[in-house]
Amino acid sequence: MTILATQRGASPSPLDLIAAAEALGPKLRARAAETEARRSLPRETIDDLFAAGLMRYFVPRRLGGYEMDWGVQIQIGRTLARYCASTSWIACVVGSHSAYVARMSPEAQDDVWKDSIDVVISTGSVMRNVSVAEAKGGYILNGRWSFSSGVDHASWVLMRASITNDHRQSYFLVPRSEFTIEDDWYVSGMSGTGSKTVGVKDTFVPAYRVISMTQMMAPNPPGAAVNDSVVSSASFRLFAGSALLGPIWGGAEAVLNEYRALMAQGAAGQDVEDPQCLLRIAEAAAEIATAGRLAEGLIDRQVQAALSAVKVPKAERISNVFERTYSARLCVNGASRLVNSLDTAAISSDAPIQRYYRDLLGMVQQIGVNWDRNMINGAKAMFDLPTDIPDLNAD
Amino acid sequence: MTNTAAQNAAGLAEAFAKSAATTDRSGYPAEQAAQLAQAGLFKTHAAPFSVQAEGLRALGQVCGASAWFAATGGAAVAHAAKTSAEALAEIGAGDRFCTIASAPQSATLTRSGGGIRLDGVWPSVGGLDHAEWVILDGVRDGDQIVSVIAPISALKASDFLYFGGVRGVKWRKLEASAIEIPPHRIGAKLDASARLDPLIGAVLGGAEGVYTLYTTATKARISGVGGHAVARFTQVQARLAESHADLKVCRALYAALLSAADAGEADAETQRDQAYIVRTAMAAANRLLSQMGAMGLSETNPVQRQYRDLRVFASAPSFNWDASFAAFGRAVLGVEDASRAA
Repeated sequence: MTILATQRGASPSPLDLIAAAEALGPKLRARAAETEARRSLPRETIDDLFAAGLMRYFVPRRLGGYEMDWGVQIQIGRTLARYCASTSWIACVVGSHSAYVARMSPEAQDDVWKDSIDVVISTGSVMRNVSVAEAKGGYILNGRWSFSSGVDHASWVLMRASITNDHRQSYFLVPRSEFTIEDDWYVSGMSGTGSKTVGVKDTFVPAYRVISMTQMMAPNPPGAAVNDSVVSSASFRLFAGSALLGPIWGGAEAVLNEYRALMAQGAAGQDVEDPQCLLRIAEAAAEIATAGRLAEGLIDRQVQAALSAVKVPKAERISNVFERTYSARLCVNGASRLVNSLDTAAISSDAPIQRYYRDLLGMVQQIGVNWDRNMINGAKAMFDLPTDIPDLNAD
Repeated sequence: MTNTAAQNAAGLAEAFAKSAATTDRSGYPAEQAAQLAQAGLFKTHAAPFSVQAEGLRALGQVCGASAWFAATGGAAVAHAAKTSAEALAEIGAGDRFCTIASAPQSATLTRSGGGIRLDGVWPSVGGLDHAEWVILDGVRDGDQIVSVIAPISALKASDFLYFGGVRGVKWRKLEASAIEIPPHRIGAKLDASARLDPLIGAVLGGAEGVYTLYTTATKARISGVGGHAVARFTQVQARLAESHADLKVCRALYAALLSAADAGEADAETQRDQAYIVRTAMAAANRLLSQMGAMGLSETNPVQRQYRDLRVFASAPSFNWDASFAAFGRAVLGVEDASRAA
């Protein structure tokens, strides 16, 4: 992956961070069942991620962070997901939210990182009865947001909402003291992400902690005045959806690794001398590796486009949506091929493969890799029809 | 079990459907276990295959835990009957529920001083709240693997966190430490190999239940993004049709399988069809659950519950795809032994 070689002599380097993720792996694997049962990452896991610098990759350099290029977090996510998908999601997807804040006003950045650069920033994107009223110097925010991953450990939440009577959306940055958490995350996969509902009531958000979606996504957002990485300054739409591919790819590799171990152990019906098992694992390994290559190629192109600041042709933007969605599907296909051949190991709690698989199925429900949404909208864009994906509507 | 008893299962299903969510959350009600016994659903060993399977199908359509109790209780009595008349009488001969523990972490019989002692650990055993006896399978006895029948009161049960499915049966870890076992309670290993298994009824019923619950939910569902009626989405309509067609194929194969089994004419093709029914039923259910998006992940979603339970039934060793399909290929090609070559 070329991104790993483009980090301008950073210290630590991207490879250092990936090695740190790998070193954490056995510990995370040992905690994975507990993480699932708690429906939230244990505090010690968050502390381990902080201590290893695995949440600092997009934190601005001027504040002590690493301000690396896009793609580092995806490889970190891939690595961690081989051990614990929920931890991977928090490190890779939630960790990426630092880039959102790094694109906001310098004052907002200072608020978030003034005391520590090791901070969890959650998001609220799926709105429930949300309203925003203009007020002197800012806005009054009310409502609830579902699926706020990692919120138990979050110091801040970026809540997406539209100012009343204005269909355009903005992000509102809200500190922990201002939001409540509803314990409503009871799910069959990715339970450890603790993606609970958050709510605010008559919360004042100063204007400098609000950024319109248009500003957030466009080149040179307010944060670019003080941060110069491509993640802080390039068009953010270029990177849409690809962060999900790290945990998904690593999650499929976790299933593959566990299946391989079952075969090596001679688990019932999984025999290293049975050609059916050998063909199955070979086909799954090929599918998952292909998914990874597809993801790497996509991310490389995204970064190169950001570095060169050249407009990406529409046909390539459509293809990017197809490729990230298809990469996720290949991962599921490969993993399903293996898991569907198992008997009790596919359902017994003491067999980690069942948790890895359920987590994988949970991850691919995320809208960024949703098959119907992405494939139908991508195909509509091929015929210049309006779509639900803003990046596909522009020429 | 008689045909009347199979009809009883269908009669119970309506009431069990109403309690399925509570059962999944809080455990299987004692009165339901008693109703299964009264309906004759633990006395399966003499009934035709079709009657056993249809009873499990009726229960599986609405409540996985009920199908599991009926299947396990029936299999336990059938096995005890083969072990000894004394053991069969001890477990209640189908008047009470007896459970089965399989896939031990370790399990050994030690013969010394004229006595036989059992030590072992079974990590996930269901139905302990409603049973007095358990059939412990996979026990090493010298160079043989056997099963042992033991009173649950002699074993140590501890909580076991289980996420797989059929949660209403309350899976627990069971440990035996130097328990004295009389010879009449030692029997052959339970047959877990590819074979015709009445649990195929629970698989088909489980998938039919997923379809029914999904259809009901989708008629009322509004999309999280955009607030559209999901039922109006063309791809949703088409996928529903595909799963319906899958289930229709399953039912046709299932009917042929029941006929062949009852007539004693089951062969390698019947065995292959059984595995094919399981895979096709799972594909139908998977397609529908995936269509539900993040909502499909929610533990309280009835479709998710029904799917979890179906997955447990589909994982039975008797439905092993590789064994069933290779056996059919051998039969067609005239290869008698199962030795492998690439």
